[in-house]
Amino acid sequence: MRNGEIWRYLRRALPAMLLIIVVAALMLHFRKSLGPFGRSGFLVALMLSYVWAGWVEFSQLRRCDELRRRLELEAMMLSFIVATGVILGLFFANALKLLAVSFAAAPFVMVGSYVACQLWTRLRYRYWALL
Amino acid sequence: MNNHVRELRGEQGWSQADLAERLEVSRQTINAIETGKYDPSLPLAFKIAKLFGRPIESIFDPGE
Repeated sequence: MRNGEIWRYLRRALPAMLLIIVVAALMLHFRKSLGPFGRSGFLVALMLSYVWAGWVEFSQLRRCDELRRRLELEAMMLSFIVATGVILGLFFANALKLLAVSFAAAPFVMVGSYVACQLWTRLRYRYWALL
Repeated sequence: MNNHVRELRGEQGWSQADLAERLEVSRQTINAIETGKYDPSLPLAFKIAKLFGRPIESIFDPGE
C-alpha cells in the first residue's frame, strides 16, 4: 500500500482507536466514584467507540483488492478455529482443576492467534504490504 | 492453474507494479498470480485478458 493510502487509513482509524483507549482509561479511573448510571454511560460509550473502530476496519477491507480480502478471510477463519480451541482447552483445564486460568486471558489468546494466523497467511501468499 | 501473465507482462516491458496499477490491484496480487500461489477471480481474469488483448483461455490454462 502506498504512503498516501496508509495516511488516509490512519486518519480514519486512529480517532476511533484513541477514543476506545481514552474511554476505557476514564472508565477504569472513575469506576469507583461513579453510580450505576455513570458506569452504564461509560460502557455504552466504550461499545459505540468499538463499533466505530470495527466499521473503519470493515470499510478498509472493502477497499482492498481480492487477494488481500482472501488473506484476511483465511486469517480470520484460522484464528477463530485456533482461539476457540485454545480457549475451550483452557476452560476445561480450569473446570477439571488442572490449571487456574483467568477469563482475562481470552482476549490475549484471540489477539495472539489472529496475529499468528495473519503472519502464516501472509507468508503463504508472500503478501507483505502493510495494509 | 498455470498462466502466462509473467511472459505477457515481459513482452509489454511492464513491471509488476505497472501491471498492478493498470488492473487496480496490489503488486502482491500480481506476484501471487504469476507464481501460481493465487488464481484470480473471474472478473480479474477477464480484465487481464482484455488488457493483453487475448482470449482468456490463451492466458490461463487449467493444467492437469
